[in-house]
Amino acid sequence: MTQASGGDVLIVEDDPALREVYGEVLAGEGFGIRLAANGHEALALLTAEPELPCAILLDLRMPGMNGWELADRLRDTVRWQRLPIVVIAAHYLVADEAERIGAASWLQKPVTLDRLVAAVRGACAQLGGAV
Amino acid sequence: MAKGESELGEATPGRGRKATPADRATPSRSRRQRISPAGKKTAGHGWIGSAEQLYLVLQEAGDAITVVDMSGELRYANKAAAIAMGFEDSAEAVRLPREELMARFELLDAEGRPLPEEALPGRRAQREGSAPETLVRFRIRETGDERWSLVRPTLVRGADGKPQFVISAFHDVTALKATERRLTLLADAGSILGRSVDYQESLNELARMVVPDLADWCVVDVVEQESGVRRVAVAHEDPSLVALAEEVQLRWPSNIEEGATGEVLKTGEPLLVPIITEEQLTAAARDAEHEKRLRALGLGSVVILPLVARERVLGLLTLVRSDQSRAFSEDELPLFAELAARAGTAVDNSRLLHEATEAVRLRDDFLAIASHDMRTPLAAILGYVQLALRRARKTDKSGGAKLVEYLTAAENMAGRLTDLVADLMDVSLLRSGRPVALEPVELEIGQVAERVIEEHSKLAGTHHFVLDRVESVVVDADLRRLERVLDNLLSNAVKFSPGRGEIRVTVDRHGRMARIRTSDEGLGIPKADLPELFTRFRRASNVAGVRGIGLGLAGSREIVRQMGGDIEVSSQEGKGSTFTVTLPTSGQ
Repeated sequence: MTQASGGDVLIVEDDPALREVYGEVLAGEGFGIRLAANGHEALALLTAEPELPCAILLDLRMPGMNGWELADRLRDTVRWQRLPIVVIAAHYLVADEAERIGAASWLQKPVTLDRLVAAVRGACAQLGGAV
Repeated sequence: MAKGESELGEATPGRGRKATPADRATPSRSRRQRISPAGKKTAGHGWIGSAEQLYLVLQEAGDAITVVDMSGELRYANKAAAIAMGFEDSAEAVRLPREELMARFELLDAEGRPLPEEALPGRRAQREGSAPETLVRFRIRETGDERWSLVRPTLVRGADGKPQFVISAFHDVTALKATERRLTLLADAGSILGRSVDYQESLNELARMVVPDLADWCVVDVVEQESGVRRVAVAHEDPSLVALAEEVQLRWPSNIEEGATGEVLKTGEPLLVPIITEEQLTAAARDAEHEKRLRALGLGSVVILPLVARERVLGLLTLVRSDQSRAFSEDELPLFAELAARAGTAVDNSRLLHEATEAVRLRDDFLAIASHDMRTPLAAILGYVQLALRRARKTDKSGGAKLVEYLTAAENMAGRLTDLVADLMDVSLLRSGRPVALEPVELEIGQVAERVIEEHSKLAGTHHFVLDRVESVVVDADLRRLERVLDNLLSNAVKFSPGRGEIRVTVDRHGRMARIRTSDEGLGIPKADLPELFTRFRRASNVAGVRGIGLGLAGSREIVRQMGGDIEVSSQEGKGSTFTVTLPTSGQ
């Protein structure tokens, strides 16, 4: 497995178990991990850190600020608007929803870890190419 | 209608026509009972010995016969004609002044429109020399008795060729017409009630159809499970009277569950009140104002029928006639009861359909919610197992291999559960007409087919599976969904070839499309069933596959179409069926 893909991944997921699983597996692949339970926490983390993550792994349905709202806020802010988003949700129309918020890719829960890693790698590579 | 002449009574000069010398020369009343001797032709048969005999024949004939002269005078009416006009004997009819005679009738054409004077067959014969047999409907105002007659006029000329009088023969077809109207009414009611699943709409239409022919008022009430009895239709030809009825119900509300209507609801027996008396109306009114309005509604005669289906009273059909000369009678009840029975069945069917649809919707909603809510915990289980597996693979400790084995088994099971949940969601989405979220990847179709066939071969010992990979074809498709579709087709093939047989899967390319064909040597599909084959979602158990819960052919086609392809079928009864799946090849 490739190590040190570089960059941090911001994981926005309200379920603590899934946050842990995603964090563990991506850390194992060499990504830096930042964890948020909803949109508010994610915005706070993005504001606090000078360095931007290379991708955001985003759940849609969350209490507090949900995934759709967070995506809107990111698109409205120049500094964050090009951050690649990987939507990971149980929503039955996840593909449509991902397209609507301009995500780089999407995954429907439950997902195998290999596919999760592949999607995040792809998103980070996209940002690398764009910057 | 014009108060002028009718075929039955063109006895006196029409209004406005000046008296002519011919009028003054009219023979005496007694002579007018006889046919003019100028009618020689009609007495030409040898065995009729005298004019007296001819007179008797005419007088006793079953059909009504009248003779009207060229000035419009009724010269003769036989017994049947007199009875049809409501007289005891013909002399009485001929004696009556024309205006008085005419006022007794209301004349209509076959469609129920007022018949203009000029269109009367006798009139036309007078004017044009002849006229075709015509259906005339007339109502005797005094009795409300309505008759239908086929009228055939004949213009009789004298020896000099000059027109002398018109003989009209009236063949009574009232009984025939009544049967015909009854059948038409029931057929119309059937088609109205069958047209819509919304019974409120169809009952309204039924009520509008019934007035004014059958009754002046038609009211339909339906018993609702939650809210009690609800009035769903009030029909009258005159909208201002409908408004008045609404006003009365608002100002002096009456409870349908009480009184006469309540009685019918309780007993399920029809109630006939042929004549609503003045006293009954007064007694029903709560005050003078109420009484005034009730009288204005025109409540002359009423019949209340229960809408019954499966031995339950589902509502009421109330018919009212304003004109008491047309009071409802016992012999009309069977027709009304039939009408009410049809309305009852329509209400019942509509409710059953609604209940069934609701049950299906609840089930699909449940499936969608359940499958959605299972996804998060399942994702966590699968994630932890996979994490543990990754760790276990790295460990050098003894027992590591065993740990990997256990965790791999757990991962497989979690994977199967994941697929089941996903299938459940697919089925519920497809059934409710919503798309599924596809996850297309590059697939070599032959490999996919091989795996699915392998699983079927293990189970179906009686069938021989053959995979014919003509060429390697790569598509962008959702693996799990494509597997489900193939699984479904193979399950169908097995199910519908009960004897031993070969099931052949051919993978090739057809133009720019990848093609997978599954052929069996089974029963085949009847031609009549082919168009319906993909349209209805069948019970999942009918097509349960080796994996997961069956999508059915409708679901399979939906999914394949979402992937940019299609499924088609060709089948020959007794020889087997071939299903062809096409998908765009990769890069298209």
